[in-house]
Order: sequence, then C-alpha cells, then structure tokens
Amino acid sequence: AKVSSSSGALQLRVHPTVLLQIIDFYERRPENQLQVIGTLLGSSDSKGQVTATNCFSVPHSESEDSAAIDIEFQRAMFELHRKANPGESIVGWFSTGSSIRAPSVLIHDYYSRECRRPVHMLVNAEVDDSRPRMQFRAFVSTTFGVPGKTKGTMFVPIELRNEAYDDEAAACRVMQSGRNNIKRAVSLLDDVGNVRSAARNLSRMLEQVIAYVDSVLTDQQKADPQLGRSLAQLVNTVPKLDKETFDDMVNSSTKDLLMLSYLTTMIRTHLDFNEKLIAM
Amino acid sequence: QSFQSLQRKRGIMSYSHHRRPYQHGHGYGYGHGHGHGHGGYGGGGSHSQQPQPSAASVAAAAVAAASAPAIDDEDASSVQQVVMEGLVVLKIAKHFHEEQMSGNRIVQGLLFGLVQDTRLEITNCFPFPRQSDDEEAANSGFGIVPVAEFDAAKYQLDIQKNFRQLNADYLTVGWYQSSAGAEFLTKEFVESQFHYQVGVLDAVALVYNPLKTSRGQLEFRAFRLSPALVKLMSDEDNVNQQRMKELMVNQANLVQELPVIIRNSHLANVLLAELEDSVASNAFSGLSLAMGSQLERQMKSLSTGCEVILQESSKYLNYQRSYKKYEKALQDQKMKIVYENQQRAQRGEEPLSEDAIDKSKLPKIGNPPVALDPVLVSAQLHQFTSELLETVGQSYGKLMLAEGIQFN
Repeated sequence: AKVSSSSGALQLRVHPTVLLQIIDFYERRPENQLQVIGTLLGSSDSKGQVTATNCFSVPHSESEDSAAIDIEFQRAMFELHRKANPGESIVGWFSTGSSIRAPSVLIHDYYSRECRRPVHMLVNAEVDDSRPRMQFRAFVSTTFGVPGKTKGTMFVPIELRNEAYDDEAAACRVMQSGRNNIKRAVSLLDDVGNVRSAARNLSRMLEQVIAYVDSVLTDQQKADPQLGRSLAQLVNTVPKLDKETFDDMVNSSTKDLLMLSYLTTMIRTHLDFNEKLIAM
Repeated sequence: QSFQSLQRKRGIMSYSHHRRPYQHGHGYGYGHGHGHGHGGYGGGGSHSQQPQPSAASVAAAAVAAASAPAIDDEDASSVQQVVMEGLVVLKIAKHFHEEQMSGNRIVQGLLFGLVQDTRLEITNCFPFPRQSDDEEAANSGFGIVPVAEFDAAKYQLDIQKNFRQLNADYLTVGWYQSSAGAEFLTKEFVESQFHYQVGVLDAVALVYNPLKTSRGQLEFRAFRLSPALVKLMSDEDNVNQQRMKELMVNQANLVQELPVIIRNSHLANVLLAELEDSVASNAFSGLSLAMGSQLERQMKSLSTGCEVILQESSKYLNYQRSYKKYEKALQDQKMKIVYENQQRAQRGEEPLSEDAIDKSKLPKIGNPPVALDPVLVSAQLHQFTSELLETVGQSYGKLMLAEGIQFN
C-alpha cells in the first residue's frame, strides 16, 4: 500500500478562546450525547499554517458507523459569524473524545466540501485520576491504499500549538488565580490592587531564587554556571543610580503626581458645586 | 467520571427587542423594548411560559408597547453582582483585538446569560458586526454593514435561535462595549442601556477597558441606570429641569456600578492550568514606571470634558437671560392691558382680555437647553477624575517599590 500524502508541513495554531468554547460546549451537551462536534473558524496562510481563532458547535448525532449533522444550522451559524467577523473562514472541525471514530471520516468528508483542506482537532476532556491531563490533537486526512483498487482515508497527526493574542494571554493569566479560590471566583482588582499582587508575585519569585542561592552557598546543591550567569545578569539590570539622582527623580515624579491629584480633586469639587448651582 | 450536564434554570421569555446601540444621527427606527409582565427573577420562582412569538407579532407588540408600563420601585432589579465566565472574557478580548487591527475603536456586542437570586450570570456573548455611516466603507467589501440596513432585532433573534439549539443561554442580559479608559458615559450609551433595561429589568452594560489589558490587568465594569434615571427617561417629552429635581437625578445618581467577578467551571480551570505554560504573558508589564503617556491622555480627556461643561453652563446662562427678557416683556404687555382696561372701564367699554397680548412683539427665546446633557457630562468627568486618581495612586505605589529595590 502506498501512502500518498497531500499535506505539506501543516501546523495548527489554536487560540485559548477556541479551547474554552469547546469545553463549554462539552459541558452543555445534551444528556444522551457523549461527544460534541463543531466548526473551527480562522485563517490559513500559504505556508501551511492554520490558525483557529473561533469555533461553534453543531448539533449532530452519530452511531457506530454513521453520522448526521445539522447542515442548515452549520450554515446559518457560519453566516452569523461571518457577519460579525468577515475575516474568519472555516478551517476545519473539532470533536471531543478519546480517539477518532468511524463516523469522523464522514464528517470530515462534509467539511472537505466547505473548505480546502480541513483540519480535524480532537479534544479529550475526560479528566480523572488515571488521566490527569487533557489531550489536544490535530489531524489532516490523506488517502491511502492501492492505487486503482481499494482506497481508504487515514488521519495523519499534525503539530498543534497554542498561541494567543496578548489580550487573550493577559486574560488567561488573570484568571489563573481562580484555581486556588474556594468559590472559583476571580475578582478584578483596581490599579493599586494590581500593583500589590504583582509585587507579591515578584517577591515570591525572588524568595525562590534566594533560597536556591543559599542552598548552593551551603553546598546543598550543585552550582549551575548558566543559572549563575543569568542571576548575575539579573542583578546587573537594576540601574545603579547614586542616592541623589534617584531621590531627585522620585521627588519630581511625586510632585507631578501630587499636582495631578490636587487638580483632579479640585475639578471634582467644582463639578459638585456647579451641579448645586444649576439645580437652583 | 463523566461531568454531569449542568442543570440550569432557564426562563423562557419573549425576545426583547433593542435599539441598535449607536444611532449615528438617524431617527429611531425600531419600537421600544417589548415590556412583558414578569414578577422579577429573584428566588428562582417559576416563570410563566410565554409562547414564542413570530417576528411579525413581536414587531406589532413592540409598537403596542410603545406606551411602556409604569415603572415603580417594586420593579427595581434585585441583582447585586455580576458573574462572568472566562469564555465571555476571552471572546470580548479577542473581539476587540481583531477589530482594533482594522481601526475600529469601539466594539459592541450582546451578552447572554441568566439571573439567579442576586447574581447576574453572563455565560455567553456575541459581537455585533461593524457598522458605519460611510457608504464607501460599506461597499468596500470588508463586511462593514451600513447603518441603515442593519436589522439588529433580526440579528439578535437569529443568534438566540441558534443558541437555544446549542443548549446555551439565550436570554439577553445586556450588552458590552469597549471604551478608552473611563470614556463611555455618552448620550448614546445611556439611551441604549435604557432600552435594554426597559426590555429586561436586570440588563447591564458591560464596559471593557482594553488599555488596561495591555498593561496586564483586566478591567470589566458593569453598569445599569439608576431607577430614578429610568423613570425620568421613560417619559421622553418631559426631560427637563423640573422633573430632574423631582426625581433627584444628579450626576452621582445616574448609573449604578455592580461588582464583577469572573468564575470558571472546574473543567475550564483544568484547561487554564494546561494552558498556563504555553500561553505566556508578561506578568509584570504593569509595573512599568513609564506612566507619562497614560496620565497625559487622562488629563486631556479631563480638559475637553471641562470645556464641554463650560459650554453647557454658558448655554444655560444665556437661556436664563433671554427667558428673563421674555418675562419682562410679557409683564409689560400685561400692565399695558390692565391700564387699557381701566381706561375702557371709565369709558364704559368692554375690557380687553389677556389674549389681546401681541405675541409677535415679544422677544424670541430658543428652546430650553437639554437638562440631561450637563449632568451626563459632569458624571463622565467624575469617571475621568476617579480614573486619574487611581492611576496616580498606582504610580505612587510603583515609585515606592522602585525606591525599595534601589536601597535594599
């Protein structure tokens, strides 16, 4: 049997929005359904990199060897999404589950009609003690078999990478703190709160570094020259200013800030005053 | 260990129409929100199941409901807190990011979710397409929908239909909008929120501040109009000084802010943990000491706001002056008539009635200035000042931090 591959160096980049949505769809699936499937939206460039930035799930039903999806729904949803963001087009489809099943070929076939080279993403969201990590895999399909005689379709795994816009990455990072909270709540801090939490993180990281240095000094751990070099670099990046220059800088900045807060409070008092006058 | 499908309470309500958020100077094209009778959402009571209306009947009902039901205090929303899912956070952030790349500064969309006790949970959202007045832009093929053609009601209905099939919440609980800093309290904002609130009592406006995200923070704020403001605006022709005093609408009383927290399901938290290493962002970009441009921008908004307030005040003073002139002229005429009547009584003739006042001789006064505008602007300025004070506080903290690092 010859394997004729039609895929180049294909790579799928997934945004966290897509993953979170898939998890959400999975949680909301109807009682009798084991898996959900849906369309992946995004863009693909000429070098074979496909980026998935959005997705929506599609009602479907499947059995041992057949599958049916609501094509009308798929089209209507796609139209809606396209109105909202015309830059996104269909790049493939996703399914939850632990392995590729027979009906997937049929579904993949449908998507090949919708886009040029659909990517199939498989998400295994079943997490338990024996399998503590989620699994994300991506595939494209190729035909294989004896030319002229029996042919079949095979799913070839391709590389899958997480990528995110800066905004998305920042949002994800802020939401990490929800893991340690009993109520799973992430409250949004105001400016000063953010500085405080960033400072706390910084001091925690510094403590770890200091503990490491201490243990090396007391011969409990072997010294790693590369680590030592980066540590030296770190210490050197703190700009060395003499006390006077630094004090000057701090003072002038403080003066600016005080002036601003004075002006602002004054404006506020004026506003209230103005209001009272008009009301008369 | 399959995860049980979440049991969610869902109220089936008739679709509420809403006016498209930003009216670029066109007339009101749609009926007001379909006010439907409901006994409030609190306590998870059973909702009356209303039959799903067809689009035509909903439009007719909207027209009929133009005489909105009287709003009394019992209808005040019982929501105290807004809970967002991480999904919505990411979708809004992504929506803004993609729109920003094509130059659009303000992005808007719908929020879906449900109300539970005192919490408003936002579980999903969907963006509005870009709309523009510019004919050229609309035909350039970038998917910008011309303002006049966009049927917001149908768009919302479509989304709700589809969401229902996906088992997602399809109850519109509000709308979202991005804003540059604290700059969101405009006339259009208040009007849009008013229409949403009339349709859905608990509707909130979610304001996303993308400037903070670039510094590693997240800012989402939820607002709704105060009951006093809703009462004021529900009687459109009568928005004047008098009523505002009656209802005690002043700049502190325009909008109420609700605390926002983000909550993710367990599975979503597992996913976030998986992503922690691969989706990296600079956790300390917010500690940068370079706040100059930020402070400048905020000062600029403050100063333009102050100018607007000055204009409004002078408009008001001018109006007062011209009104006084008018009154004085009116009085003069009245005195003349009284005098004339006295003379006529002497001569035994019929007295003139007051209607004989020659209206055309009176000085002209323009319309009284819209009373709500200066209050809006001053509320907006208040937002600016709070924002500025916050930034000042933050900068000061960072300075102290830098000082500590230098000398330890």
